[in-house]
Amino acid sequence: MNKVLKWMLLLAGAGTAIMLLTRLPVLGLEEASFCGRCHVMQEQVDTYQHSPHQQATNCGACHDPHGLLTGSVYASYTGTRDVYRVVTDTTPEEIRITDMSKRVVQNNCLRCHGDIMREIGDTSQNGGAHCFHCHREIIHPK
Amino acid sequence: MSARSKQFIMVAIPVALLIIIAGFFFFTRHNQDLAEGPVGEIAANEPRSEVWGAFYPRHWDSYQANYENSDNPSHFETKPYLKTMYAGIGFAAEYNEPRAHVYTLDDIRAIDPARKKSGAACNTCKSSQIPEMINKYGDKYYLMTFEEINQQLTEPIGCLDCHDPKTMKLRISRPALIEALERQGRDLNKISNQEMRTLVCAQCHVTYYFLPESKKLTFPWDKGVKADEILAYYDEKGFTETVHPIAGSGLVKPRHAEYETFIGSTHESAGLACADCHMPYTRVGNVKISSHDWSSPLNRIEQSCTTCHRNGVDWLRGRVEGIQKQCKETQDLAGEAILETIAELKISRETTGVNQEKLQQAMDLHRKAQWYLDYVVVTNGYGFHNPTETLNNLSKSIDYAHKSTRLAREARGLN
Repeated sequence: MNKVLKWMLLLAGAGTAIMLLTRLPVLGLEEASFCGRCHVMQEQVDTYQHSPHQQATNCGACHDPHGLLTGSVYASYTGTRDVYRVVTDTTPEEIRITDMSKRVVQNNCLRCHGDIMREIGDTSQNGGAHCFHCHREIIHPK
Repeated sequence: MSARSKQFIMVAIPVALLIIIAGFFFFTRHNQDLAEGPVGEIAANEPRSEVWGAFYPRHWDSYQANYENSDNPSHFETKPYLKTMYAGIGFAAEYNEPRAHVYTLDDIRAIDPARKKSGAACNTCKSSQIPEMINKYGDKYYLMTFEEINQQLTEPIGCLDCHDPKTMKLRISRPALIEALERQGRDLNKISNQEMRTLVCAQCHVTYYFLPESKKLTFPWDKGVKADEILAYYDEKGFTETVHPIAGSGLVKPRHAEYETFIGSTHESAGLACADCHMPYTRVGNVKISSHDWSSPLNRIEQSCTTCHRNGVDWLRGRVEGIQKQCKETQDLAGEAILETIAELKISRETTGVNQEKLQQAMDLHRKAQWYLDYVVVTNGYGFHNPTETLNNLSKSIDYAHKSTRLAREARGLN
């Protein structure tokens, strides 16, 4: 029993460590060059690379939460899901943002642009629109 | 205590403290409220916008820009048929395009006296002091004369009309809208901020009528907010506002139905509010505010339209103006058709031995025809608030006018 527990702990530790690796900048797992390896992301990557945000951000800056733990868990989940979709050829024809992802992206918009929005606040609160509802063509139109 | 556990405590306590301090630091750093709260104390019923402006200088500047919106050409210049359509009511004497919100009191005081007969209620959307007046006089307010209320007013439309002075949240200050929403079964406490960004406009930019006895200002929305539903509401009540002196038909008068028209439009269905186009978020220095310079979004396409539509200013302007031109053209066709109707009804009424039943039917159809055209004419935006619905209403107007003309001729034995 003790042995099983030991192994489980070891696996959990290793799993957490691997998840944390997604936040290691040197691996480049948040960069467009990495995300663009899946061909379904080609249009997003191409249009992103022509946008001003290309100079200051990467995919993860907007699409992953910024907490160390939340970010790595979320990135691991979405990354695994996306790879699974590509491997099994079940990627949707039209890739749409999920509700959870909307919250993540909105928070990241405000993480950088919250200062200029200090009088208006978070527009998505109380039935309103997300930043990217209107500014949808600014980062990657597709 | 063993040396080992002492050692453990020596390490554990500083580590725990460090975690708590770090946790507290990051929590407060990330847990800041984004929106700045109210910066000063404003009295509960402060109608003077400059008092508010002292605390909100950027919004005040934006509000001041309204003074530049000062053109008010007569509608009769571009829609000459309105003179005949409005025969017998105050609008025939004068009907101008509106100027900015800051001019409401100047403009209503300068208006032709023929239009002041309706009494105190005409002031309802002209001043921030009105909710206070309605509180003061109760239902008697609606029975007072125009002057009795008007001479007490000093403030045009301003901050207090849409904002709660304590929290700055949007609020509805006019009883007619509150009552209409309650009759619809809406819970006023459950209305989202996004809908409030439309409803504060719907306090005034709607059609209304005065109840026959009490003269109480009321929104005719109990059957719905669309032109057909509002007319059905009036028909069911047997309500007639005026009798057309030439045609003899009993008419009802629509008023600036911007809200009603916008509901169900493409932009409304996409989740937009009035404020999204008419009060776009505008950069002022290093911060964005909701513009409080209310006018046509065509005056600032870059803030209002290009945020979503990246097609370029010229393309967008062409698109909007194209739609408005089509609506205006169709509007003029309906106007011509109604002039013909009124002329035929006049002849038939003056003819002896006319078929009274057919004449009455023709007059009823004229009521419908004029309702649908007038509904479009008095609504700002030349149809852009809802192009398909506008053209649909105009097509009904033209059809009813032609049917009325035919019946009026048949009534006196012509085909």
